[in-house]
Parts: sequence; C-alpha cells; structure tokens
Amino acid sequence: MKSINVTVKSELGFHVRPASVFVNKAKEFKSDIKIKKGEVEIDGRKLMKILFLEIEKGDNIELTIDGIDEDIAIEELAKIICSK
Amino acid sequence: MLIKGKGISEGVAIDKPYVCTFGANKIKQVKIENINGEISKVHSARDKAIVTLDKLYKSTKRELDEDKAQIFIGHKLLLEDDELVYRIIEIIKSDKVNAQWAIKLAEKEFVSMFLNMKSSYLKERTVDIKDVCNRLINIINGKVDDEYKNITGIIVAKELTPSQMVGFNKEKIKGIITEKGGANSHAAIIARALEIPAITNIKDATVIFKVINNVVVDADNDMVIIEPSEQCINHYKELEIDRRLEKEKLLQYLGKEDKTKDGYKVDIFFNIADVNDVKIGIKNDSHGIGLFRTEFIYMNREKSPTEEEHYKTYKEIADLMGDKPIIIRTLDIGGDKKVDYMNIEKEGNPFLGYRAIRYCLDNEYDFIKQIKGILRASYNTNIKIMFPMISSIEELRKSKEILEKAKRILIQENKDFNKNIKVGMMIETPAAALMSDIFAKEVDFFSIGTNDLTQYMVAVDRNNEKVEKLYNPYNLGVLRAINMTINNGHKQGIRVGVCGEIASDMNFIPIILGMGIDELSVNPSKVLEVRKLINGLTKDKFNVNYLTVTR
Repeated sequence: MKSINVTVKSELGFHVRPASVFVNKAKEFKSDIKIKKGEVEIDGRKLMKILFLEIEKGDNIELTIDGIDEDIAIEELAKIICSK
Repeated sequence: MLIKGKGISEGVAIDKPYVCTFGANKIKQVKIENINGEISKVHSARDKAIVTLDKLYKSTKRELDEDKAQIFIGHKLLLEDDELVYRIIEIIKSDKVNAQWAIKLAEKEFVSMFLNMKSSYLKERTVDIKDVCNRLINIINGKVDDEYKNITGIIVAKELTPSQMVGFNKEKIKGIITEKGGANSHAAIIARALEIPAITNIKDATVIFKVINNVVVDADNDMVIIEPSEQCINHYKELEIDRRLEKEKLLQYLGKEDKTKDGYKVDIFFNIADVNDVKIGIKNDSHGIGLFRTEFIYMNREKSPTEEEHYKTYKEIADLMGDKPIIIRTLDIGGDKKVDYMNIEKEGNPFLGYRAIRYCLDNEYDFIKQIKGILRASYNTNIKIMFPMISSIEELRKSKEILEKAKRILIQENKDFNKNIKVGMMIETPAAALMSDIFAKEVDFFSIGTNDLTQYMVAVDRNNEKVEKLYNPYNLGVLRAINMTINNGHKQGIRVGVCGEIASDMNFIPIILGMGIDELSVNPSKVLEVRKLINGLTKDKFNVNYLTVTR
C-alpha cells in the first residue's frame, strides 16, 4: 500500500475536467484507489463522489493506492492532482 | 433600453433574439405499473447517452481542442458512476413514477447538493448535472440531438450547457445572452474559442426577450441594448462590419508570401508556449516556430520532467509542423519565472541573478535530459536548438559541449537524432550583442530577445514604476546593438531573427526591416497582421543612417 499527501494547485480546484482526467486514468489501473480529504475517504474512481469532496485550490488531500500496480499508479495520479 | 451585464466573450453583434427554453421542457409525473419497463428505459438511455458523449468528445476535440472536449468525458463518467443512475432507479421503485419524472427529481437532488457547496465554481457545475439529465430525458422522449442546428440570430437562454454550445451551428449564431454562467463556464470558453460575442448576468432575459425584435450585444462594454434606435443600429452595424472586414481583409493574406513590395523576404514565424499556440500559428499560415518557450514543461509539477516527457512534447509539436522549422529554446527559468522544486533562492535582483543558462550549466543532469529530448525529436524533423541568456563565450562553448555529450550518450543508447542539428543563441545581453562578431562564428543563427536586451541595455527594471518610462526599445543604444548583431551575423552568413514583443510592433518593424532582419517571430494570432504590413513596405526606403545621427 502506498500513500501520498498532495496539494491541489488548479486555480478552480479539482473540478469536473481535471477530476474526469483523474478518474479516466484511475480506471486504467488494477489497484484500489482512495482519495481522502479531512475525515472523508472515497473511491477514486467515482467522479460524483470526488466532486462532492469539494476539493479547492490549496486543499491537502491524501491519495492511497493498494494493489499490484500501486507504484506507477501513485506517480501518475499524483501528477494529475498537482497539475494546474 | 440598455441593460448592464457582464461580457464573457468579446465583440459586438446585432440581430433578432432567439429565446431557447430548453431545459425548461415540461415533464409530467405519470404513475406507472411496469416498474421494470421504466428502469430498462433508463438503462438503455444511459447506454445511448454514453455512445453520443463519446462522439461529442471526439468531434469537439477535432473542431476545438482536447481541453474543451474533456467536459464530455466528465459527463460520461457521471453516467457510468452509478451514483446518479441508481438514485433515478430508486425513485422509480419507491414512487412508482415514469423515468422522466424520476430523472427530474434526481437532478433536483443533486443540483441542491451542489448548490450547498462553498465554492462558487462548483456551484456552477450544476449545469453539468442538468446537461446529463436533460440528455437522458431527451433520449427517452425520442428527441434528437441536432434540434439546435437551425437556430439563428442571438441566442438567449437561462444558461447554456456544454452540449447545447457545441450543438449550435456556429455559422448561424451571432451572439449569446444568458441569465447566468460565469467567465469560467464551459459555454464561455467555447464562445471565446468560436469568437462569438457573449454576455451574461442579464436578469430575466428569457422572459424579456420573448417579445423583442432586435437586440445589440456589446460584450466589449458589458451591455445589451434592447430595441435599439435607428442611429444606434447604424453605429453597431458599422462596428460589426469594421470588425468583420478587418478580419476578412487579413484572411486575404493567407497563402501570401512574407515579402516586401521590393521583393525582400522576411520570414514571419511565431512564438509558442504550448500545443494550442501551434494550432493558431498553423491556422494563420505561418511557416515556422521562431521561439518555443519550454518553461511550461517544467511548471506546475513536483519534480523536473523526464527525457521521455521532453521528447514526447517536442515530437507532438514537430508532427504538427511537418518539415517547417522549429526553434526550441532550452529552459529559461529564473528572473520572474519560478519553479518550486528547483530551489532557486529568493534573490535581491533576479533579473541579474541565477537564471536560464546559468542555472542549466550548474544542473547538467537535468539540462542533458532536455537536450536529449530535443535531439531525439529532431530526427527527421526541422528542429533547431537555442541557448538563452548567454553573456560569455565560455557559456556558449560549455553549452555546446553538453550538447555534444548528449549526442554521444544517444549514440551509445542507439537512439536516432539529427547529428547536424542547427545550434543558435539568444542575443539578449549587451555583452552578447557586443561580441556578436565572435559568436557568429560559433553558432548557426541568432535570435534577438528585445525585451531583455532593452532592459539590460538601458538598465531599467520594467516592473519599477519610477523608471519604467525609460524602458524604451527605440533608445539609440538598443537600436545600435540590434543593428550590430544583424550586421555581424550576416558577415558570417548566419540568419538573424527577432523574437521579442517589438517583432510585432507596427512602428518598429520598418526599423529592423531596414537593418536587414531575416525573421520576425510574433504572437501566433498576429501573423497575418504583420504579413499585411510587410507586404506593404518597401525595404529600400528604410536606411539605417539615423543610427549615427545625433542632434
């Protein structure tokens, strides 16, 4: 299991477009993918759930990945969260 | 009557308003017995919607770009998510109602959840939920997607969804008026891409405009004018015509040569910062990229890009450009451009500090990754490499050594590259300009960066209000430096270009034309304007005698 804390940099937060890029990418991997903001943790493959986390610019979120392709998954997915 | 709003896509338009009431389509509640029948309607509508959204993604990507198309992937994911569809099915089961009614109820629930959010941007995302739900309802009702194709004039709507925006016939739509939807809304982004004037925040527009025959959209002045007077109509018609003629006139310059009246050739290339700029430059018929600012590859990330990422970025652009020249400038970081992970400390005077080639030469490990990426992409393309901020011969020679080292590594790694890649340098420090006779023997081309050169020649910080009026590219010292660089380059038979802001300054172009400049690299949207100017000038009229005249 791998876990990383990332800060959202996109000016408008993790809104529909970046979040859908994320979910699309997440679906390419076999591992379990979780996103946690504050106390709430959700399935990283569900766009609606991500939107309801209300992730805004500067928010710190925890990405946890568990499975056979966790190394590559965490690198690629963290990159998407960090991009503008 | 005049109503103030907020312009979200510039321009003016005058036409008959067309009030679109889509989304407000009346859905009736019907009690049903056959629950499974309604549920299967939802499932099949979802499947059809997903297929359509895939198509919309592809066509929008083709017509606009990836970024604007991505929203439809988002809509598709919302449908694939189950969240929304399960809620619809639950409602059908518990309330025993028709699918359309259940969709409307589910839509309301999700919309209200979005409206409870703090972020005003996410509140705006309710438009996506509505769009997706409308799509399902329309499919169940047997409505086809191209119902907006025939709408003409000025669109008036509560707000526009991404699907509606791409559903219009862009040739027939003159302007857009909406009650809500910010400048960041997808509709606004698409309106700007299509150059359709748009204005929002017009309260009750869909009610008011039902009985209106004529309206002016003046997005430049944030207002609409209802039933304008004849005088007003004439004024705006003239404005509209002027704008259109101006644009059309420029279109005549598509396919024209970059030559002066007396047959002197000046290449009008363009500057890019990313792939989007390339598309604009190609659309405007430019034949080369004079400056590729590679900083964006390094920005907004946690660590420096890999060789592979460099290679892919350059290759993607080279594929768009075919055999046309592309000058890639190696990283020009520092000064006013900062990257977190590079740990360039805060400096008292960053423009005289640790930037561009100075940083790269100290960080050879990362520098070589970029150079290898450029070299690999140069294979069978017309990519050239250029070093920025050179102020000493040693710096240039060291940079070229690293280039040769990168070549040797690539040979060992058995990777293809252009062994004779052309090497150039920026002339943007006074030292480089004064030594341009020496440098000209060591590189294949010069590119004069007039913004920095001016700043360093006249010793003025552009961001300091007290001295900014001294920042003057027409300063005789700056002009002499440019002239000297061009002459020294030509003595060695190498090309000299200008890539700073003044390359598209209509007053400055005749001066550098007189000096014999070979290439102007301008903003991609300025290509035709500059070509028009060049086509109308006679080089012989602009001699450079004034460089020695003092009064």
